[in-house]
Amino acid sequence: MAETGGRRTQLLRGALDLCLLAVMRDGPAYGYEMTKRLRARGLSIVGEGSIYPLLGRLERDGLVDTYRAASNGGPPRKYYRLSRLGEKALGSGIIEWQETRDAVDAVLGPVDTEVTS
Amino acid sequence: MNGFVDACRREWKRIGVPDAVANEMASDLEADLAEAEADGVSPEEVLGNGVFDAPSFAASWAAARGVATTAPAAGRRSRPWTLVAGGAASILLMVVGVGLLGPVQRASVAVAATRHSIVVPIPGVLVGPRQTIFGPGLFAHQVADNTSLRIVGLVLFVIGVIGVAAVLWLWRSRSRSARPDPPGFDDSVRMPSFL
Repeated sequence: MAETGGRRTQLLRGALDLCLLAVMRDGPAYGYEMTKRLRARGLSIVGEGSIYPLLGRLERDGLVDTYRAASNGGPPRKYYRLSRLGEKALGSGIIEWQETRDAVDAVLGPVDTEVTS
Repeated sequence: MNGFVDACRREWKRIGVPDAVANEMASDLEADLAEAEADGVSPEEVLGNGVFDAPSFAASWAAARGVATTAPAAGRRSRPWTLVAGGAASILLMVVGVGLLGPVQRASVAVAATRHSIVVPIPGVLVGPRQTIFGPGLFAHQVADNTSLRIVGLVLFVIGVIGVAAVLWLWRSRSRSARPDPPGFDDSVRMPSFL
């Protein structure tokens, strides 16, 4: 049985790319800015992996476009924004996530939490 | 966190990330970490577990972007067919080496069996300087030539033995690294996952 922390990591690994694509819908963002957006929605990556390799993979797969621009009073940053392919991937990914979540909820939901705790 | 970025730079250089790309990644990382520090946010909030292992973080990022030209050492594995071919080549060298060593002994015995009085001193590694082989003049050159062949044979044999040992060692290493990856290991880039 995986430990709680390990399970969270595994679950995040399957969904963090969707979360990044989702926060990019709010507008182009650089790496740390996306971390802030995730945290503002209650998702912290402390104890988890970094978003940078994941952003690199999204870029390599063509799901995001990038460009460099000056940040607010700071040095030029690499901004990421959703590509057309990324929009499609986000849409299908959300459906997959919801179906999976609902299926798991259907199994785990009725279980008395006192039994599992 | 300059030390962290410097460690990343070293890793990117080691795995062949082009300087322009490495500079861009380092610049973004420095700017993000500086902004986080100004916000009072811990580096771990920005880098996740990567903050504890800069080289793996850097290698993982470069691999994800597809900008590394050489595989990280931790992720390098010998392919099975390479090892099989290497083992076969090594065994072949050993066989050829033994083959070159064997005829010399038989020739020497045959020459000695003629009981002629010509003495042919054979210097060298395999036949001691004081050792003599008795044989007819006709066979003396053959024996001398065979000595060279014998040396070549021994060299090939030794190389073959070293090759076989190396292949066995690599095979064992490969078997160890083929064990199930620990949680958090990213199979697509063959290194710890930093997502």
